Amino acid sequence: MALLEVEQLSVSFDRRNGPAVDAVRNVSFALDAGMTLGIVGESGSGKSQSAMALLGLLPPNARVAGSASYDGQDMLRLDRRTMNKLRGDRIAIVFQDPMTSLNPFLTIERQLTEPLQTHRRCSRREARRCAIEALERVRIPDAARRIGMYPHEFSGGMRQRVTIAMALMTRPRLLIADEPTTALDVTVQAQIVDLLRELTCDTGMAMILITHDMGVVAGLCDDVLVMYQGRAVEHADAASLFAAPTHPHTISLMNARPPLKRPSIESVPAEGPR
Amino acid sequence: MNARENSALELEFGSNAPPLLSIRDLKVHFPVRRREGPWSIGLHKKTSLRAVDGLSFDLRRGEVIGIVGESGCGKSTLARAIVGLAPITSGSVCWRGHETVDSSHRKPLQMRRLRGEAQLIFQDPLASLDPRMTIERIVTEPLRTHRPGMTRTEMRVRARMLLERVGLGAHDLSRYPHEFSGGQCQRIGIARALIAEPKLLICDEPVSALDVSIQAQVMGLLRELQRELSLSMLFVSHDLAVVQAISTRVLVMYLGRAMEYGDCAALYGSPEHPYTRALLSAVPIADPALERSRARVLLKGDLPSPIDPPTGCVFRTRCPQAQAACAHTAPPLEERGERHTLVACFEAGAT
Repeated sequence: MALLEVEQLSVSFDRRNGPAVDAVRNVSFALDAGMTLGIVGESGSGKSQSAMALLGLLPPNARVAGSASYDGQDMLRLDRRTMNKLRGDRIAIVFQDPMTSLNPFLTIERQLTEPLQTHRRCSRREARRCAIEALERVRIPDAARRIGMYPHEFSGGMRQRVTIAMALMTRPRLLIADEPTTALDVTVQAQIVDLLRELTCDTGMAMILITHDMGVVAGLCDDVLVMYQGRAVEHADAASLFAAPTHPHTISLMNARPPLKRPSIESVPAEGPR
Repeated sequence: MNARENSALELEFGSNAPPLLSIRDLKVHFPVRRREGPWSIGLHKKTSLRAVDGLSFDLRRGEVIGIVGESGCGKSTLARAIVGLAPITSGSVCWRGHETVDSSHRKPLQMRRLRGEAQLIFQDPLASLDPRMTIERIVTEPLRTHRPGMTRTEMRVRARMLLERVGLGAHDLSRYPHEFSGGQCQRIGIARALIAEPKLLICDEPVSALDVSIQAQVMGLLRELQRELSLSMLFVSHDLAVVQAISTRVLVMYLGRAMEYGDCAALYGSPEHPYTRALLSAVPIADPALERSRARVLLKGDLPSPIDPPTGCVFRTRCPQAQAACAHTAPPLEERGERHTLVACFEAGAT
């Protein structure tokens, strides 16, 4: 049985004046443990709203229909208490902007140990040890010292690695990554993509990756769902989607980026640092 | 630009006409105060943040120079310094053969001339338009400053023409910025930049804030306009593919210094500098099999602080080919190998 099975998910927003806006219409997908699903589309195509609906993070004027079964329970119909037990524990999320998703007033330690103290009732010392381990796992050098620092003392790439470490503290079974590399430089993006790939391989964690960058999708995803105006217009495994995209919108997304002419792959020396 | 257009320009201006814009050893250092001890007030040490640290290049008519590098490498500061929006510490900016800033750091007449003939396009399309002005006022503002003799009707006619050229309509003249999408706002920004018929267009990340599909449209428009008006451009972006699509020459910056500079095709086809190679190899390829199997040059860690840059070659702390000698002297930017790009690396061209 799949880890997550989403059936006919729809999201619409009520408006004070005028008819409701349909953001997501009848989207279905399934995700197995250890697999990565890429949801791609332009802004406004409903890709983030689908993920927010799963986690119950939509504003009060949103209406959600359909079902999303995770571990035998329907995530769309959970009460707040059960949902809070799931969120940040079995299911974690990484947002696009690493600065706004970290609290500027709290040290990295406070923020990293919070999920453990909430969900696991860990002792402070134990939580701190886990947090340092988590920082080392996302390759933050000098983690034992850095853990006492504040978010503004980190660079953008490091902050994003901290939010990934934070999401992974409880070893979730599903990670939702909402444009995790969009705000970062290409060199840092390459580091984060490699890190995410390693983590899904090593821990068997499933991942939903929301992005508009077909290159990132190619590097990470097993399955791809292409969204356009709230609808899923193409759903295929990554290899066949890139080999033969069928929907015109998929093709235009692929062609939207100017092709980068680069030196032939062989000429790039492979002895670079890992 | 092809060779025929090039020779036509040379006929028009003479092959040794001064370049439109000429930058020599430009430095922009910002004074900063650094705390020495923890929380002590008296122990501030005055130092400087070297945003741009000794850059030189020439921009000729009809040429597009792309400036790439990671965030924090000083590429935007360079663009701003050229038009006087950032203070120049030393070095010179010459506009059509005349200095724009004199030794006393006052802005002489030449700066006003440059500002009339050089226009900027900014990254954030909405923030660069005054929310309380109509599109007509926004687009005609350069004319009111730089063409004082023009009548309002003439201005309106020109504004309408330009709006139509960038894909908007005459009826948009009376509307306000908030009524437009990001892509449309950037088109308005382009119309405003072009209305006073500039010779140089400085684009500071013009498509970075836009959605991918909109990016393609705006880039297409910029390329068309560049050819049509044979505009000279400085195109600043962190996006290597976008820079490649529009530039004739490319300058790769790292921590305020030039790492590699040369013809666009040569630089992308066979990059000599390890940093250029790392940048190019970091861009993902939209092909799952290729993307997962290829060898990449991954850079360790983050950009060092421009307040306290490494000695010698600034890139050596992250360079896969760093030698002991790199810590002592900074490699000069010079021609190495036979590719005719200028490279600042001791190792480049050696093999």
